[in-house]
Amino acid sequence: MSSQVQSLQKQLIQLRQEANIQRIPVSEAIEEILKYTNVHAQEDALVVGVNQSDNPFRDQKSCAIL
Amino acid sequence: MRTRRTLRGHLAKIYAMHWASDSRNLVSASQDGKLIVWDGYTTNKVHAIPLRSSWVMTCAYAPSGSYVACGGLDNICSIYSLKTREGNVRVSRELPGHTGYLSCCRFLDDNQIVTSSGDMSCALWDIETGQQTTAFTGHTGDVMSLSLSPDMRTFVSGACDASAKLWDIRDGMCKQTFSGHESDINAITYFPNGYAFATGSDDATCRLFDIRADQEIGMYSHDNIICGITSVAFSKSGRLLLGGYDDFNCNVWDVLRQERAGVLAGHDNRVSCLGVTEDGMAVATGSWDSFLKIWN
Repeated sequence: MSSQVQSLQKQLIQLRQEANIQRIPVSEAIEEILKYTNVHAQEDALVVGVNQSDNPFRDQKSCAIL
Repeated sequence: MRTRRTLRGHLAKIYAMHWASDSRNLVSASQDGKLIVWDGYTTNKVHAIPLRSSWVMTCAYAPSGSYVACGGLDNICSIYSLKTREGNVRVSRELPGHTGYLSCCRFLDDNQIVTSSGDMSCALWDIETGQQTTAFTGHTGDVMSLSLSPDMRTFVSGACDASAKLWDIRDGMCKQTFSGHESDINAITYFPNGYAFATGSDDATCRLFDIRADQEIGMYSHDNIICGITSVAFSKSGRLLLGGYDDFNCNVWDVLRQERAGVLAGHDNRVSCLGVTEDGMAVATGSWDSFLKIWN
């Protein structure tokens, strides 16, 4: 019985700690994400694409055995 | 994006894959009882490692490239040394201690690894001593996945209790809990700046959560998509979110527009795992059809 109470008390402390953290407004959070994706867009090969000559995964040439 | 490489060699369902830091090698785990280390550029198999238990669910590459780890229904995280003096690959440490299956593992460095388990906990291990340094308890369901922050001070976990939790690695405390999903979270990954993360769930949605705002800020779903997501990864800039789905496809989401930007279709069975290289050059998908594909 008392271990149940202890466990619930621990949960309560945890919930209070989580509820008391500092938060930033969602608008600010989204701004940061927008900024990050814009600043780094050019280095993202999956977004801007990559020249086949620079692509380490470019199609392999098959070898002809003469 | 197109398939650039198909990696053939596993004889059964692939459950997990992880790119090495060199963005060239990758490790995959299959229930054929093997870990295969591949050279992604050439498709050559660098190592084929027979496992003591074939019920593997996760694998990881150490940032140094010197070790790989795996685990599954044996409840043990096994560490394999790839660079032994004799030139062969062998188990260098087994980490028993979890009382449930190993769902995910990630190296902090050559001597520290974080694991998540079906026993509802996560753990930080000292590999040298084989001991758990820290236990992370709080989830009320199997923990399915974890992702380390870029600064390696925190990690996020996703569980079958439909919540994601943020943990401080050093003090073992859960700092924040994120709700919103309506079913098991199967996959979780940090946004590249470390201030947000994405999740994939059996509720057929992926969601974006912001850590400093402490809430969900985006959802990626469509009425036509009704199956669960097994794996998620961001592209290098965070503009794209890739998700592996039970319907054999990998959907590519535009993170900002919250719409689908593309589909990677090519597997003949569930996409069970995927990962983007550190240099952002390519994405690899692994499937129950026993193949891995590399796309860009």
